Amino acid sequence: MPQSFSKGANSLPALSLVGALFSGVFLIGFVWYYFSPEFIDVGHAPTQPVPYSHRLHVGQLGLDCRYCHTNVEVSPLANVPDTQTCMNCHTQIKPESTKLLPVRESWASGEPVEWVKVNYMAEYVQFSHAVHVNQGVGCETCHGRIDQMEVVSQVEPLSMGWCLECHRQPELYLRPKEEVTTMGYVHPADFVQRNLDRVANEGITPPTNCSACHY
Amino acid sequence: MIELPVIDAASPAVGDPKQHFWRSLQDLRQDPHFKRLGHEEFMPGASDAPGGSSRRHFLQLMGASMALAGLTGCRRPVELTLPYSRKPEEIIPGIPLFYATAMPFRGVLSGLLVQSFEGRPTKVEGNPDHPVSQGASGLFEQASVLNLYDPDRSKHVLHDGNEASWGDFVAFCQGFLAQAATRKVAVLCEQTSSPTLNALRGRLAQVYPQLRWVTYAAEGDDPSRMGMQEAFGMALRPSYRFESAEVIVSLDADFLSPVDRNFVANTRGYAASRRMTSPQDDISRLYVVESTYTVTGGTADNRLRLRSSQIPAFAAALAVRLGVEGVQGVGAEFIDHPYVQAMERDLLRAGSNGVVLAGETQPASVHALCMAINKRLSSIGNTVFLYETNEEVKPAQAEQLQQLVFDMSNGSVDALLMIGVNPVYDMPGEIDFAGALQRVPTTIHLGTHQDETAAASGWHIPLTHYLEAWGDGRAYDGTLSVIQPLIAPLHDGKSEIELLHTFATGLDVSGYDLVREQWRTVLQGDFEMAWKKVIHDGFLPNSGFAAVDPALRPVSGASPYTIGGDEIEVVFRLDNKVLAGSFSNNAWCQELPDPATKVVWDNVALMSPATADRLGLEVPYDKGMHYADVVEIAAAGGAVQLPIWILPGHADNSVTVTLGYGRQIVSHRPERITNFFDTDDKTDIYGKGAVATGVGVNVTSLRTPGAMRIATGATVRKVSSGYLVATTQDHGYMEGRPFYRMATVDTYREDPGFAADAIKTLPGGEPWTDYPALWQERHPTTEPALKDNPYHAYQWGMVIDLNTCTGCNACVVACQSENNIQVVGKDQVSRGRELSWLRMDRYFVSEAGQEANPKMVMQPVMCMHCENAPCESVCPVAATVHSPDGTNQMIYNRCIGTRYCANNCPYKVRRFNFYNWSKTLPLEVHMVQNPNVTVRSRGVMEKCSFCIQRVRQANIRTSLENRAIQDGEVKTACQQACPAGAIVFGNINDPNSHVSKARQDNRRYEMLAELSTKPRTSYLGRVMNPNPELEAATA
Repeated sequence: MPQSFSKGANSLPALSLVGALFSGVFLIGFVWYYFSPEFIDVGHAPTQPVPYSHRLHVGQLGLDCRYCHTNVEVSPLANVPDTQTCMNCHTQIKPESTKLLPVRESWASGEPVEWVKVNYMAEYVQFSHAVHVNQGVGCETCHGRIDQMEVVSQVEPLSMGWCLECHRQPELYLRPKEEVTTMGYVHPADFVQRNLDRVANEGITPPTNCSACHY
Repeated sequence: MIELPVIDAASPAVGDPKQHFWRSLQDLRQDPHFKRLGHEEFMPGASDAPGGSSRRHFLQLMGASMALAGLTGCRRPVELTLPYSRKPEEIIPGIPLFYATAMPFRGVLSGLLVQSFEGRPTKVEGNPDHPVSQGASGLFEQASVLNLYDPDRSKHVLHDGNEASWGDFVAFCQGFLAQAATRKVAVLCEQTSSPTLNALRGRLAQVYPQLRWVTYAAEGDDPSRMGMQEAFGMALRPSYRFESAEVIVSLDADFLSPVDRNFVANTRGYAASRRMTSPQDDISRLYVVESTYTVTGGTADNRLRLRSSQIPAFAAALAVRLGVEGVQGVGAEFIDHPYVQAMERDLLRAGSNGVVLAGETQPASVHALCMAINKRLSSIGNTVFLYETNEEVKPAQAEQLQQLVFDMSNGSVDALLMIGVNPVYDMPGEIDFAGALQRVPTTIHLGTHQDETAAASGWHIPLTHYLEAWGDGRAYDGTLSVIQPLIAPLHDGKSEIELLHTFATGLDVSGYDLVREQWRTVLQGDFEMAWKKVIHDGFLPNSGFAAVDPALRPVSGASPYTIGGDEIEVVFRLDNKVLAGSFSNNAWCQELPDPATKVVWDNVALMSPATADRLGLEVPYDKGMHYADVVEIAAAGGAVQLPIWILPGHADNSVTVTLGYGRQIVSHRPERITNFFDTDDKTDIYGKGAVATGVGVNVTSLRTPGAMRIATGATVRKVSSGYLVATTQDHGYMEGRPFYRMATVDTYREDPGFAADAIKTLPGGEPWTDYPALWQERHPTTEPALKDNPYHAYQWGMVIDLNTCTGCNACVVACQSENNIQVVGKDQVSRGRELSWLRMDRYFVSEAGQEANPKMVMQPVMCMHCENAPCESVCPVAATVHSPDGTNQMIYNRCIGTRYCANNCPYKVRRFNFYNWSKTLPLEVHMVQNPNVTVRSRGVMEKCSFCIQRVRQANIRTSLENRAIQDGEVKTACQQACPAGAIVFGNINDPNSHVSKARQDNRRYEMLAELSTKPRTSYLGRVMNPNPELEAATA
């Protein structure tokens, strides 16, 4: 009777074990990377109802972040500007642009423009813009080169590990308070030492305990 | 193996051996089922699916979940950010604003400060500047914000049951006005103190010369007001200053209950008279004579249980003994009662520092008699102030109602306006109001819900909530306030004054203009400035009533009741949670355990164990569930069927029932129907129509217009058994260890450390105070922990003074409101799954042989924030950890729901989300959630966080302002609400903080300190001041 399996089949159990090992490692690696906020969230750039260009407004016209995001220094939320802020200029500039139609509609009707949130944070995280901005965390540090973005996208993973990188070593990221909204800020050569001095003098001690943000 | 000493649970041989603490009758008789409960963290069946469990059902659920699990979670949620079109100047998104306003409550106003997030009111607090509330509030104020978002509120104007518009009604009013002079108009209006409304009443009387105005309250006349009329011949309002009282005698007066109209001031004053900072301090003595166990009865030093219908005779005996003029030959049966003798001696000793007061169940004559006694003691002007309200002398409501209904049935009423009342539901059974209503051609109902009266009325106009419309009124002491709305009406609602104005003039004028016009006559000087100041402050300073001391009229003291020894009385009380029905569609109130019975989601007929025995009634107890007998109570020609509840300490031959249940509210929300594998329909408490519908029984048919509070000669007959009553009285049972520690004043003076001395050492004999906390080497008071952490400077701790805590439940609802605690419904509460972070433990305390007359004590219990937290060491994922500022925190996003922590918590304060309670909430109810607190999902543990969100906001605020957190800057929600000031919270690292000073008190003790858990929450032992002569006489 001919044998059902060739002799080579004897190596199959061993191979399948090795294969299982490899595929297991591969699977872990796959999930590790491809399910992570670094892969899934970074680069998220939803389409907005108004094709507002930060490149134009910030990069070319040089508007300060706080012209529109007015409450960032006092409130947990860096507010999206109300329609009135847009209309301050756009009653004069390009008052008939079709791209601005939703803004004018909102101005006429009183209904809000439905902006889509870019940087999504889970409800169980309590984050305050005010406390970061006032300690010298630059807008750019978390939001990237907004001045170069035609469409705003998420540039950092906003994961807890990412938060903690800075909370554990703030001296690597802090900048002088007057440079907070600067785009393309270049740290001076001795910035780590300067920041360490600030951390010591001003008592900048970012918390790393759970209930600082989760409650 | 390491041998660990075990503390024997069965023999807590500590504390006062004469005092036995028990929670329920099954605890008292040590029922085996009950003993088993004590060993388990969760109730039997706690892990079953809602609506019963089966293996098949479980497999179905699992299969469906697995199938669906792969499909969800692929898509990123799209969230919109909606900025204002034109931003209001003062609103900064993310930062709440606070507005002063006031809540109408039983004809008076409570001064409030309401938090608003982007125009959405979320939390109610007392107005700190208001002379009456002084920053405190009661459970009804706290719960009122949920009434705003009640999804069953009436949404449209109805005409003959069809949807109509406000414009239609205005047009109707214009037509009706054409023959105003001949129209016979009657108004049935709720109790109100609004000057604008009173002015409109005058205006209405000019337009309709034949106007008849009846003020209607479901519970009946205010006997206090009628009593003052009887005693002094004018409308006066007594206000008690318990802070200067030495001896307080309460005759069925539940003045510490949130139902009382002056609850906040009463509780604050009483707490002041009980506060002790050293053993040498004197405290007041409270005598309570009452039929059922009330909050006030629980705080009493000497309490006598007596049928409410016998209390008039008791009061008369006291008056005779005290030599009140003109009172003779009455109260003979009590003249030699030891309580009467003891009260007489104590009151005469106290003189003007004594005070006697009667409760709402008592007739006006008893109130008059109490005032005569106070006059005799010269306490008027010292412990009692009589405010001159300048209101009309009011005839009894019963006569007015009977006349009105008689005229309605005769067809001699052309139009009836019902303003904020629900007479079809709560009118006494003897009056056929619904029938008479059919004979009135035009009926107009203004109410918050499409309720019983709305269904029977021609016109129904939705009534606005106080946070939606302008109004005004007076606080209990007369202080004028403007009711400032925080939000535009959510539905097509109109306020009382808007409706009355439209009816009187045919014009549609906004409430704002009406109130403003009225206040032009009130405010002096520059009107705009004064008006803005009143709106900003929330009240007009120095606008309270003047106190007077008029001459007394003769009082007789004759009791209106004659009651036989075995005759059963039925006493009708306002419910401690839903009043007469105005809070019955409020899920927080329905799920709040009653102070004495701890029953939720039901009204029950309360009776004493002896009466239940005599009638052959019982409440069998099986596997943690109570299955009560159902009785038919017949009185005054009516009969209702109610489950019974046996309450130790209740007067014999007396049955207490509460109003406000058995509502029929129309809800237009569709019933939730789900697939077989989905349990949402079973866990959705809003899914089966209105919240109040089907809860409890309406007892009003037992009442007559003349006997709104007490019915005598009732019969009680068992009709069935096995009715499930959900109660939390045994939940979190802690094996009879000495959690509550109390002593008499004399014992305290002899042994100032009585509370701490109850347990001093660990089982091995080592003092537990020497044990360091696990998470650090040294105690934070001597050495700050984790020096490089920004929070180390603050170590949060709490002290709860059991001497001043009355157990009024304000803190429980405040916590629910602040921390987004969900409501789980009757079925789930009976399985022990309620989510309240703060529970109010109620113990009965008795000496051997005195089980029929137990004392009742209350103890708020929440997470103790142990420094050696047993929950932390068992969590496999470190989801519950210590914060550097010394609090034990629950990290929801880490929790995987093993429930080990709850099993290891000796205080049983951890709550598990067996279902996703927030998923099924209607949209409106979502609006009440606090945006600063995570809304928990299914499968996570939760518990008291010491209001860490408030701490963190203070951390951020002070960091921005570059300063330290002041003592008292952070208040927990429970502390902020507490009218007694019994809860102190603060930084125990600061030796000068209030909490540090409170921790120096020699009455301080910690629960289960012998386990060396090192709780951050301490209690101050209760000191009672019973009359030693009386103790000797009754022993």
